Amino acid sequence: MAKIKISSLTYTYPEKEEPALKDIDLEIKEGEFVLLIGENGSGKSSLLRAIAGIIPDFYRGDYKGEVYIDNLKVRKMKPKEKAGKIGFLGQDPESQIFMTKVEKELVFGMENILLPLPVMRRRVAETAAFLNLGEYIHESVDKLSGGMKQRLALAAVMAMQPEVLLLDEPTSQLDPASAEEIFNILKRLNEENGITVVLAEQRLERCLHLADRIIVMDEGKISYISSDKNEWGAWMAENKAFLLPPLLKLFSRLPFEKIPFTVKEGRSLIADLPIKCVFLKEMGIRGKNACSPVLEMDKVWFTYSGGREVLKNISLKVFPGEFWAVFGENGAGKTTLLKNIAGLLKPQRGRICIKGENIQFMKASEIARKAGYLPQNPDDYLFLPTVEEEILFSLENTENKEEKTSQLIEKFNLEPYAAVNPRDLSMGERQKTALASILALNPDLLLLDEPTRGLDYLAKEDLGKCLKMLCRESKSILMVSHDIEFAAEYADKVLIMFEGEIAAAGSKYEIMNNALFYSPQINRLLSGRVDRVVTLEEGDKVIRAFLEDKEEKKFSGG
Amino acid sequence: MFYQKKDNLIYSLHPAVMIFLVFSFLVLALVFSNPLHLSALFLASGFIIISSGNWTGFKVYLRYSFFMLFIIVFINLWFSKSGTAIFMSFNLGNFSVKFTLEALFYGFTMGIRLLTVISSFALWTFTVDPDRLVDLWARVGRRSAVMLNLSMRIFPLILHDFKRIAEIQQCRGLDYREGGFVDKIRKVGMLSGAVLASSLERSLNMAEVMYTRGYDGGERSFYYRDLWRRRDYIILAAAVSGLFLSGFFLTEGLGRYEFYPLLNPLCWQDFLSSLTIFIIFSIPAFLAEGEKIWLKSKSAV
Repeated sequence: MAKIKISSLTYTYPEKEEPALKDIDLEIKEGEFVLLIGENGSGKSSLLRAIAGIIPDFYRGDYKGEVYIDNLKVRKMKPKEKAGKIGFLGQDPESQIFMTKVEKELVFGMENILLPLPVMRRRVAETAAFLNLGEYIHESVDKLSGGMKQRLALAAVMAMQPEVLLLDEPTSQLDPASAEEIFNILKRLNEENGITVVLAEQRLERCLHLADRIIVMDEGKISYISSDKNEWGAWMAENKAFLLPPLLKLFSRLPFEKIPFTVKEGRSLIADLPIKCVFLKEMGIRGKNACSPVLEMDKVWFTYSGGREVLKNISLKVFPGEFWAVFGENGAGKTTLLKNIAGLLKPQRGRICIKGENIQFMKASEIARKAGYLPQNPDDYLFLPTVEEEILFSLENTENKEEKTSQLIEKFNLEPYAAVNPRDLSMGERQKTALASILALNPDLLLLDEPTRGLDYLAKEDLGKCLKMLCRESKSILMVSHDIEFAAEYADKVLIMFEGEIAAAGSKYEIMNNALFYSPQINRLLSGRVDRVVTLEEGDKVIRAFLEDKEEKKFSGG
Repeated sequence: MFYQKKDNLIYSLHPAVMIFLVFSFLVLALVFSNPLHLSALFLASGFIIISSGNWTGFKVYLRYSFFMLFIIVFINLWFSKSGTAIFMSFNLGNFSVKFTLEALFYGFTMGIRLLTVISSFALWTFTVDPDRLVDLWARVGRRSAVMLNLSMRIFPLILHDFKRIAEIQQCRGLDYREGGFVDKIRKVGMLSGAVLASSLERSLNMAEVMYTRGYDGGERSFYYRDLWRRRDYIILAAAVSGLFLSGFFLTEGLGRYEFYPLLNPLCWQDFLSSLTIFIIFSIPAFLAEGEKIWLKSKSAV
């Protein structure tokens, strides 16, 4: 018997003409781990909401068809009944916590479904132990990190002991370590507790191997569904290559029978290939150090008013056209570094010069003309009713502002959205709108704080191309990121921060090569065979060379 | 200046006991007019605050309270025409100003009353956990307790959003701290729009997730965790007997004081009854101090 059954489901949000879900028929077995894949706006979240009963109960709209859990119509179930069977976890940890204390958050859902006190006590003890929350149980939720908050939200859902767990990109706001932790917990819950998991996710490199079945969604429809792992890669490569993580993308281009899901599988596929010396041009090294730097930081120290020393003796030079990626664990001082350069924080010691000018006594608005700062959440930057007005606002008091605005809108392919409210756009388009508004001031340096957060692979590729184009125009970029794959593909240099200090800085080929944590999939695939390979193109060249060598040896009988 | 949990007996008390204790201080501060009894209450509340480890925070309250006491005494001296024992008189233009001992003493006593009221509120602020208070409230007003909890969670988030957005908007020349009054208001309005949009989006997400956690505004069960210990019963008994004794003293004419036209003389019964009030209401502090000295009593009481 199917745990979840969806029959002929079509749903349209209120005041929308196009249905978000179109004629969905689906059955999910008990204990299955299903992965929902698709671009932003393909209908993944709507499908999860329909299974959870949020659609149509919460949103209303036009609903046809039916969703069943254990043969019970979800629409007919009361919220308390649904909550006891279905657990739902969304993207933003802040939006999923309602109480001020960890323990109270854990019991919130249980109190709602009227569980008796002894049951609640037992479940709090069990859940806290299972998800390692015991030491934080009496803490205020404000003291938890983003990853911990998401773990708490998951714990609060699990305390209700749902039979089905629905997760809508639960790791999109988290750093890689916290994301890994969430996936490990999901794996345990599915394998050891038999909970049915339906996960919508963009970071396929971390979860594809966990799935029993994948469902690919496209414009509100299910375009592919399969539980045959050998088929997935080939279908995706042919139809949705842009959604694939670098490892799968690489193998989809190469003449291999199977597409691996993990680096381990990939390494075993190329294990028999002969090692050939391949000379690669390292794209990141441009020899521009002869010019004067755009940014020069000299022994910069910064301490917050509470006494926490966050930047310690930072010295750094960024030259025109360079693209730096800044890595480091949460709290390492990455965002504080950007804020010091943007003038939002002032260092207590040391000197920061942009284009040779000391910025110590300059206002943030003056510095913005030299160094544009894009925060983690582009919504913090955007507050006007249209995309066009956002860019015009940046150009206030300048000549030809209408013309310049049109040029920027065209440059970032924002023409269809010029009159649209930025908050109605996808995350990628919002990111580009904020970037265009910053670039309106024509700064030489761009300071980007986790610009790929919440973007799908297509939007990331689009952003990466935009940034490379800016580098070619001699703009320099300093990007804080947890996205190792994105940095490996597009950045030139890498800086690793640890406890407020620069732990390593240099070419991405030096820093990412054979790194334990900060190496991309392609590098890990070829680790021990060929050094300094980090991008997809480089990986492609190297493996093709291996394959050619193998063919040559086969024909020559070697 | 606000609640911060500390590891001592006062913080382990049941919130209902603390509420009753503070309520007793407030009621008696308004009922007593004898400076000795008011001083006894003020000293007892201060003793509890200090025992709870909040001397540093209490000093800030005291600084402002003593300033207020001085203002009350000063104003009463100038404007009160009552009293017979004149200790200073002079002419100010056409006006003849007389300072009486009764007005001075009355102002001083009202100042002590104010000190006691402020100390009671300080005791509340320092030692009553707002979360536990909401839990207690949830036993009678379940839906409003959830709303109160949500507000306590969301309000700091909105402030945090405002701070973060305001900081970033400085890069766009939108610094709400700069410019004239009208300009500041305009900038705060623009920033508030962005904050409001973010808050609305978050509220919608939160409402959606609350729905999936089974919240429908209806009946809820209750996760009650506040234990009643011996110390709670002892302190509650002390506060109740303190209230009864105070009532008895008042019926016997103790605890009241006549300032005008002549100051009443203070008798030994006034001293004895105020000392009794001080000892009874200082029991939480004695227990807390005792626990610090004899740690073994931690679970015994």
